[in-house]
Amino acid sequence: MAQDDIRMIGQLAMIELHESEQDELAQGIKQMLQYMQHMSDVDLSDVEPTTHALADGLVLRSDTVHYDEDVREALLKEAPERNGSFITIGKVLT
Amino acid sequence: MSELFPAVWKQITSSPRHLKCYEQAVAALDTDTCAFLELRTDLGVSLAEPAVKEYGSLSGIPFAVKDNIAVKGFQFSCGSQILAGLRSPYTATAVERLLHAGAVPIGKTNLDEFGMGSSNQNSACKPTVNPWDLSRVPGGSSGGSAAAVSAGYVPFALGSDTGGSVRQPAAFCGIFGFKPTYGTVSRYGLAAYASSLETIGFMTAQAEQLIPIFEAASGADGRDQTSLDCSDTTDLTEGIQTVAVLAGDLGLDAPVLRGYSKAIEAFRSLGWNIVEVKLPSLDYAVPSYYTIASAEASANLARYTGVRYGSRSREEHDHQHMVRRTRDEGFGKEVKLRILLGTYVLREGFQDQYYVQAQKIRTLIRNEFSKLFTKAGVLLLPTFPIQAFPIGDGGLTSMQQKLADRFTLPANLAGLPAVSFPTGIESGLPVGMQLMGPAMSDRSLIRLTAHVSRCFPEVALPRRFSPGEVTHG
Repeated sequence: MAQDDIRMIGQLAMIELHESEQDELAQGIKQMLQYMQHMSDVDLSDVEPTTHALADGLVLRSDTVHYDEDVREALLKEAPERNGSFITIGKVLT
Repeated sequence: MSELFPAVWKQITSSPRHLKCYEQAVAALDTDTCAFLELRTDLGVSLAEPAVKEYGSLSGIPFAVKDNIAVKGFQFSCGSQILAGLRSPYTATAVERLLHAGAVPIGKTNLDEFGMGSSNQNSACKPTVNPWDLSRVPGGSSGGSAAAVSAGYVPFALGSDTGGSVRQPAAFCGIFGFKPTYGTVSRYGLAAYASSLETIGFMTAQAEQLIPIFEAASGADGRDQTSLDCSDTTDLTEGIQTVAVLAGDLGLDAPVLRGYSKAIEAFRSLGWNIVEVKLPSLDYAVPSYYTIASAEASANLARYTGVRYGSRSREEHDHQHMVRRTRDEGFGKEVKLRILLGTYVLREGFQDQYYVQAQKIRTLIRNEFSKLFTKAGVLLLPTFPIQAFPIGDGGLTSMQQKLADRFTLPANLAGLPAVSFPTGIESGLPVGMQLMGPAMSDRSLIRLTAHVSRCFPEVALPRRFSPGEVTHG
């Protein structure tokens, strides 16, 4: 895996990787991908993929609103930066 | 059912004076085992429901909770820097139900960051060690919970099991670790890593203790759409009693092989037939598992951005840059590896080669298990090919640890219940074996485990704490 590849995946994953870590991570990913290649040894053309171990159709709930005022302040309290009832972040458009 | 737990626990949790002594004693003993990341009996008691604390099925029994499961007011770090300082504003359904049965959560236990690892060495907080030998790992990722039960700090603990994270540390620490059928215990309040694979699981010193805990914590929950009731009344001891074992050389270390042979002998002595089976798809279970788990992790961990909670990088030119820096600074190496790997396999043009292929192998594995359970009641297999390994360079590399998950992760791919149980001490350390049953056979599987376990001498745990010290002291 090339340096460009690892930087590109880092961008997709929203992680700005330190130069010092890139080689080790690229090596680790390469090792795993090589190992995963074994899966292509099996002929799976007639097999359906499993997305859920014990799938039993769609589960729906009634469309009712639950409102819990207490949680609002508890959640806001955890924000790293806030202004009243708003969570603040840096500039989005630069 | 509370007679399964010594009455002295209830005496401790119902007296503020005893409770304080208990917390001080455990905190002192845990300075070198490092099982707990936070120990707060006062918080736990404030959450406990006074009426049921008196009469519930787990009345007054203290327990520990892996720190990737939410308990209101307690920290919720997932063993990661990115969630440093976070206090949970809510409680997981499984914990809420245990509170309703009278149990008292007293602290949060250490784990490999977000549940990714088999040794606890991937925790960003501190490394938990094995109470049997402080130079060895307790296993992982629920290593803190396993160490806490093994050392006697609590009679039971909650963990989470995505690929063996309850069963493997249970085997390393000489206790019982139960991974229920997927969905029977609500995942609401469990920090998501690989949603289609993981379940909350339970760790105890005795098999029978798992029954009231599972009864209290399980059942359909409106807040987790994959949750369901475990209504099946399968009796694995009825009819033809056949246990399946894997054919061929399993590549086990000598002490684990001795434990395995003893477990087969135990079934034979109980009059069970032993049948050798081949499950060819298991050869592909590890790559399939790591493809699916990494892909799901890359999506689930996208929520940690430093915006709404947890830590935020101070190095920020603009919003995007802040998120990228926060995720670089906040995640450990193993977590980054899995997020990047997951991002890679989900990329446009690569999905069929990796992700869809892995999901198809998952289908083959499920089909092989379905066939197996028409011939045998349960499958017996080792939990892990080696015993607790040394901390640091003398142990297993990250890749070796992943390959060694081969006996535990098939149960997650197929959603099946499995229990790790101790078969005794070999070469000075505990060995664990695993029983896997058909979906929804959970209760019967626990009872069978208890039955088989009676064939083995009771493992004398390295208990550092005995609750009697507090009430008599």
